[in-house]
Amino acid sequence: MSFLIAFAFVAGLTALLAVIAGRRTPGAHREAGVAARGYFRSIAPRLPFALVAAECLGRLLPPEVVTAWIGAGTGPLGVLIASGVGAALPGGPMLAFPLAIALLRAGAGPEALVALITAWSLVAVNRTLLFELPLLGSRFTAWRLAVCAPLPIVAGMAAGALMGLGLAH
Amino acid sequence: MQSRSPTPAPDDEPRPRVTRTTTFFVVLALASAGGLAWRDGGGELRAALADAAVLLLLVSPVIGAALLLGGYVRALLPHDRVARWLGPGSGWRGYALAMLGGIVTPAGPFAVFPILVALRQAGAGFAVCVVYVTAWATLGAQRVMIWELPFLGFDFVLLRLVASLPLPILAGLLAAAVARRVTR
Repeated sequence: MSFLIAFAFVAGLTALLAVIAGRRTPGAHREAGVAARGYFRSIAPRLPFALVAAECLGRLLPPEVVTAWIGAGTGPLGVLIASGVGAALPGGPMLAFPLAIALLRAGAGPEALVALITAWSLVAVNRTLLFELPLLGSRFTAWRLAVCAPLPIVAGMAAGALMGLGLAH
Repeated sequence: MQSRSPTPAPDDEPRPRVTRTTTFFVVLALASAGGLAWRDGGGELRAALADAAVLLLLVSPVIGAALLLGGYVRALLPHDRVARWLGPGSGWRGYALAMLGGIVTPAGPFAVFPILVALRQAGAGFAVCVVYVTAWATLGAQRVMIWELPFLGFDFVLLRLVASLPLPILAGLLAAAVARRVTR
């Protein structure tokens, strides 16, 4: 059901943007098609393997370890641990998000998962080493990472507070 | 300033690395599947594969639509214009624009890092750059649509986005405090 809603939302937004783009830029549909094909070609061959890997890894993880370390109710310590795990997580979104579902099913708390995804998105080891370091230099990269270090914990705690307020879940 | 390749590869690796990354996923899938079969038996592996297949069927339409959405965002929003908007940004207006720019910048490092280089060259401060890249990383709309929404669902996405809303500004304020040490 949630997949249907997600699809309807994304498809509706795409249709809206397609109409706007078609009016504003001639050739926008062709450009969008070419870009989408490029995205598709890099994702399609890996996604099935990424899903199998995440599904099997999720089953290999002992649920009692997941719930004990980052389960719902582990609070600030769970958020801190999840931030560390997220920062160390290699790879792009194709692995991170399927793994996030596996963790959720194994009993991870939503606030810990928010911290984990935030840390991963800010540090993203491969991306930082391949792009940020060579393009922007070590000084920029090091200070950027230092400044961003508290953010996963802030996000995780904020998510916990929002859940406590009953604004989510 | 920066060149746009006609067929963009949006993922976290440049084009030539695609095959190596695919190999990584194949090896990881084989190793974890082998480990699961060895520890829990073939029945558990079959159940895992069935779950993965169902998940693939469910997320594929959403990912497909989101990829097209990314194509339209790319068509509507050329990099150089984002760089011009964020130029030597001033105060809160610069922060707000940087945050907005980061949210709409396409996923994948191919757009964001060339823009950051252009921003630095255009004289944008460290803080504005940090606001921009933090907004892109934590709130980037395209990654939310392609990956987070189909896999984790609306409730979780909403919770994470609301919790992450203050992050770019917080990072910007911290960055402003250390900015003088960063400028070369």
